[in-house]
Amino acid sequence: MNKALIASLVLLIIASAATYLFRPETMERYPQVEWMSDSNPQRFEQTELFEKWLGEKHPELVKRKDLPPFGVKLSAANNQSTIIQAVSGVAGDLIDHLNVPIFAAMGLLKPLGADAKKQGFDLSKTYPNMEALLGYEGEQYGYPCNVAVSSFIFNEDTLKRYGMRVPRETWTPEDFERYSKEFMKRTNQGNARRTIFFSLSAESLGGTFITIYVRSYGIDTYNETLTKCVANDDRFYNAYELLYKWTYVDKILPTAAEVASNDTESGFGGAAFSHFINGNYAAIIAGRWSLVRFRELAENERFPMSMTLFPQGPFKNALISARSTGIYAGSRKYDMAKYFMEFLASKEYNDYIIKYADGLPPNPKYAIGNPDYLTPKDYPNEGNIHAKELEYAMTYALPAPQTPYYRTTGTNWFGFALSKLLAGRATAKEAVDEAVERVNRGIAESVAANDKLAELYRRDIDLQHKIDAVKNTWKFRRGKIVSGEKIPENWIKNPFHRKYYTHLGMLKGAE
Amino acid sequence: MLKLTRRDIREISTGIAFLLPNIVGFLAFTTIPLAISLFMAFTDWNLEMHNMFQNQELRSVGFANFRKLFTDPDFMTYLGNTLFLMLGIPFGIAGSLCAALMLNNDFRCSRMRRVYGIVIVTVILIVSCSMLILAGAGSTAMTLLVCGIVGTILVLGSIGGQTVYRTLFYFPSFTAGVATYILWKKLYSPENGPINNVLQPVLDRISPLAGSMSLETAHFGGALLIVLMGIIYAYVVFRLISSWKNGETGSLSYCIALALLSIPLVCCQLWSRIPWGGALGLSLVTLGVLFSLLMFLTGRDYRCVCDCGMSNAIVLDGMVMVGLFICLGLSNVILALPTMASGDGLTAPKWISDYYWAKPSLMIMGFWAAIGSNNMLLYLAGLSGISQELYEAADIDGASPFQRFWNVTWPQLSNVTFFILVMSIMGGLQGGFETARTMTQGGPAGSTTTLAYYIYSEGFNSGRLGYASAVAWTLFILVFCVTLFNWKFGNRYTND
Repeated sequence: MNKALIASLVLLIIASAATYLFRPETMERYPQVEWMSDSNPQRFEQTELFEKWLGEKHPELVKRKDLPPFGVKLSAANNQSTIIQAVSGVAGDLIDHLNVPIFAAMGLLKPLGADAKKQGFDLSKTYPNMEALLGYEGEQYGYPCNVAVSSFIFNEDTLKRYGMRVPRETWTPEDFERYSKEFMKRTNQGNARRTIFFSLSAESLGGTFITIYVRSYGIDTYNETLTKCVANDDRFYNAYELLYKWTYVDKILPTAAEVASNDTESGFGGAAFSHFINGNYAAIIAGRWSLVRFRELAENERFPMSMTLFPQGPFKNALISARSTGIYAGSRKYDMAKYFMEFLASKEYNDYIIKYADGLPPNPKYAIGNPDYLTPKDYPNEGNIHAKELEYAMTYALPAPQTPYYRTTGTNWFGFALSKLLAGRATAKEAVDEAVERVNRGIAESVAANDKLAELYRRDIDLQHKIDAVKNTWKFRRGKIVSGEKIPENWIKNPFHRKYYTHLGMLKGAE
Repeated sequence: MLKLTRRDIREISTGIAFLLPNIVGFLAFTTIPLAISLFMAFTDWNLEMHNMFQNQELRSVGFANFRKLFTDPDFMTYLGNTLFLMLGIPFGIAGSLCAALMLNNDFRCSRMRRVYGIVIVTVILIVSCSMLILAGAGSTAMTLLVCGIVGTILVLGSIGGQTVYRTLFYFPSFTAGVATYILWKKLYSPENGPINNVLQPVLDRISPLAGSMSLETAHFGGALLIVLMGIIYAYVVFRLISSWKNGETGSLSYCIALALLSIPLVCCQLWSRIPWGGALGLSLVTLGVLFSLLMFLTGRDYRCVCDCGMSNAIVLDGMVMVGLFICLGLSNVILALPTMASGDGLTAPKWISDYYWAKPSLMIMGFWAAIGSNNMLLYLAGLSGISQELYEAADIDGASPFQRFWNVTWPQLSNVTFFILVMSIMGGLQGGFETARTMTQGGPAGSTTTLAYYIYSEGFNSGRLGYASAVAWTLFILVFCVTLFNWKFGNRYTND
């Protein structure tokens, strides 16, 4: 019996040793930094480009001529599993698709501010209003791998087929309704089942549309200091009601059931892109990054496209987002990982993004006035997409609303509100009010649980009182401010309000 | 006192050494995490503040997480969803029992009858396909494919007998869950799924009839169902009273059974669209209570303990309760039918895309999975253990097939049924995660979010591990109490 036990033990020890010795890490020919990203084929090319760039830019690191000093290994992971791995201490060295404020607040990222300055790629060098996407409490934690401004992209062939022209670049919700109703009338006449739609479903369109719509009428989800959710407002209710109307009354947008019937989930960008290519959707909501998919089409299958802003009110705006990468706080290869960040700031990487249309390049200076970016020779069908998205990013774009006092990767209560409205479970007002109540309760709970946050919150609440006092001095005539004090710029934390009050001329220098 | 020799000690040590890997694994992956999660339930553990990079002080919050849970409307909603989905359990058990009873017979035919069988099946298949095409449902390849598969199964069954059917029925159990969920998602596709492709043409035919139905007729049909509810209620109460008088049902069991039965009639007040439906329901419930009081005052012929017959009362009345709810629902449907059928006509359900249909859709899928599950195997094993002498005795007494089943098979299978019921309830309370994650993401508007999915969402999406642990432990307590209840009353039911 003892012999059997000892034999089992020896076998287990040998198996453990073999497992350790044959780990993927120990089998590598040269060191590898792990990059948690998606399985987009372009990522593999980007890692190869990095290895080449590293050898050329940092020859001092090269030890063997036939091998790069180190490489980057891709590992695919979604956001949820990345968080769980990161808090458990086993995430990759580099984390892509970051929600920087959430990850940074959890202490999962290394600060990059000093390195960014050294590499000439601090927040002032990228697009305006990106602080909220890449920074946290004044420190930079992420580099953008690419940037996107969500806009309407039209398939001109589809429009032409039904005798319609691309709408104006700036249009109101009323224009949108008129135009898309006409499109639906022309496309589905006499069909028992609707298979052609103007655009994506209310659920897909919702978050972006609502934010842009309400901002265009001068309100945001959070107040100026981000201390309170203030979405219980008629402008929000209107936005929700419009989505409901466009889905069930005007039948411009497909219902969830119609999407479920028509979609086969496959391919980069999902089913919507296939519908767009096939002419089932006149427009999609995307950025330049979507061209990666459309460039896969054979030359004779390519179709002309053009881009417009979201339908909105008087204050023109758009939503900017970035796929950003940061260095994991638990990385044991920080020294190597920071070279990759340098690579993301390099001209070579920016040129790669420009060439392969993987969104806007991280640094706009490489795109502005660059004919390779603005009018790629091989793709004349891409029309104004390149120029327009760059213009939107530099002039109108703002990040999605978020507050440091309520950070969650859990349920999006405003999405849930839309779902309730579309399911007929609540009116727009009831659904939005419930979402507001939930978010404000979340803020109260976060502040109560976190002393550091509570201190910041108290300071911001004091600021908010001051802002409200200043706003009380404003006098209006026909909906326009005619007199009143100006608000000091540094009092305002919400990037939307900063931009909106500048637009109104009610902002003054820091105090 | 037992004295251990050195040899004994060595042998025990060797045994423990062999068991050690298992014990260590159990401690590391079960006992310690359980203890930690219990500890977490009483803290404000939040991944944002408490992880290996954030060393903020962990605060003890006492029972705050549990208190929050009971004031949180989400918890109650998701508990409601879980319980609603569990209503499918009795149907699943009945389905697996029916499947087992059928598969207990040998279907293999003699060569001549087999040929006839194949011919008949082929003819049925061709006729069915033709009818589907005529009804306008044959346009999709999927519909014809399903018909073809059904035909093939019938043909194979006539050749291979019960082995073929047992294998086929057990298919859902050894097919990966996610694959079947995706398949069902496609079956439920509202506009081009095979289910609606069959259903919609039928509804199109019915629509003109339903649309032409007068409001009076609809009212009459709805009222009839409400009256039927009243008759069923009165009959079951009458049976309960006799059973109490005969000493087969205890007073506590009687009260619980009456309360269960009364729920649908009380709900009539809220939900019935027949103007006098609510009043009728409440009057009957009041009468039932008054009769019960009168009965308690007059006493009974035979005495028994107060919880005697509890399981019978709960199981049977629970089933009647489901039946009464079905009547109430149908009554409302009949009333609304003319309005629904006018205009665009009757439309097939949107299944998992529709708030109201999402849960029933998952229940139907669960029913399909339950028929050919391990429950069926357990019933098959149970059936093979029933003594043939009992059936012979029943035959001698001239029992009909139903009487054979009701008086021999069903009582003999009571221990299997009890085991299945306990396991199904435990599974039901903890279930719904995979379907929600794969098919609906808990939607539309949270209609398919169960407690298991809520725990995942709170723990791993929102990072509130303390609160998620509190929900998990509450669920455990719930499962534990239900199981204790089952053991207390179910065991007696089995032994009786």
